[in-house]
Amino acid sequence: MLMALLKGKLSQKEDILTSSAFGVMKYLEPERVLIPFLAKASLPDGSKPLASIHVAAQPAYEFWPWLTEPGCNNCESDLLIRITSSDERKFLILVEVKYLSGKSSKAKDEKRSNDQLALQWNNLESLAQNESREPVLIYLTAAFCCPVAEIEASQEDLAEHKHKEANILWLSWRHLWALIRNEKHEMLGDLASVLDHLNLAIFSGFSEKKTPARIQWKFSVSSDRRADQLQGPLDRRLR
Amino acid sequence: MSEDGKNIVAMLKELRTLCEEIHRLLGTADGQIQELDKGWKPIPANVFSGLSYMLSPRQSRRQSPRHWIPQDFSRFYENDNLGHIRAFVSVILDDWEKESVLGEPLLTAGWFDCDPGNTIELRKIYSYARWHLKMPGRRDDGQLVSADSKAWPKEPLRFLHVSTLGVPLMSVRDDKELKSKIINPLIQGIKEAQGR
Repeated sequence: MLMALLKGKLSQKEDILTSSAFGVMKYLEPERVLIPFLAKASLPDGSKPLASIHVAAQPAYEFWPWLTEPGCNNCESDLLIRITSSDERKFLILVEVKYLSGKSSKAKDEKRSNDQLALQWNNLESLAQNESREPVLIYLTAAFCCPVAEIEASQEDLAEHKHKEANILWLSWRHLWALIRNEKHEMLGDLASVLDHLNLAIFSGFSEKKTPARIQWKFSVSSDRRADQLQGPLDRRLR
Repeated sequence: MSEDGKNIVAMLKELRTLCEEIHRLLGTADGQIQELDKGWKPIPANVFSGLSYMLSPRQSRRQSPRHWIPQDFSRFYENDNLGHIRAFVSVILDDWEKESVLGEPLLTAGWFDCDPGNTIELRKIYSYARWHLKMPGRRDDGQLVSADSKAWPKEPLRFLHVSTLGVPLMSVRDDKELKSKIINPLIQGIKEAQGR
């Protein structure tokens, strides 16, 4: 929440969610939540390229950076995370966060990519090259399963503009809930409750159902009114 | 405030909570099916079909107040590698026509094996999600039951074979039980049937 306040983002639920979830992760050991969460990110074919990374140092978080790489359409991304793994691999991970909405822009017949993930990838790839890091774009959504068509549309937009295939992974808020649902840590417990409240959990059973109330109320039509109705065209027809 | 008034509010809240839980269950089923076989995709046209079914202006029968509350919620799936198969997972809560058919809500799943040139049209398949209730020798203990379309000689059916399984909804208490009781037997059953 602190990050959302600092960036004047409190009007957007998506941004509050980003701030609350990644804000909590920022203050914890990366191996506690961030790394196991990122490990669940998958490509449309189901493979999980970040499944076995271990970090050497505290990752660096940059919330809502503007990306203005030369030759690319400018864009704001939700989060950049710089991670160095214990085997010396350096990652630049861009997280595009969604809650209830889909991509904010789609492909257009223009000189540059306009699909939201495609134009973010263009900026990310250039930035990562300058920093000698491996670019990874994570599409974090509320979905239960991988939005393959959305990712394929971004790849097609990139291909049409003569870019190589992007490293776009999908991750769900529901993965985070599943990861922290039984956490004893108070902040993580609260975060799990927030995700549950926002309907970003997976099925974990039915709540206890109360005995249904017997409703005594009945709507009845008075005898006068019934007599009136019988004069009406509908009732005449029925008769 | 009257007791009746409070009870109505409480009853609707319970109903809304139940809908949220069913949404999670069916969504979790989507994820589990894809985990087991990436080829399966939910058919977008009938995402949580109950309400769209009820509100469709063309379905005048559905405008009867007895039909305002959906009787089932379902998901259908297709697989590019198995174009003639339509699989489903459905929660059956009630039966508008015959109350005796259902003693308690069921979680059911199954698949229709169609003539490859005549797969079931989307608009036709909503009621097919309740097929478990029609199965000869139906059992609600999680065992797969299969039947040939000849079992329903009077109905113009668009499939050759059907297999379903069902368990009491309340016996599925979390994602692990959903997987072991419904999703694993469904995907395994389809694989075995294709291997025969």
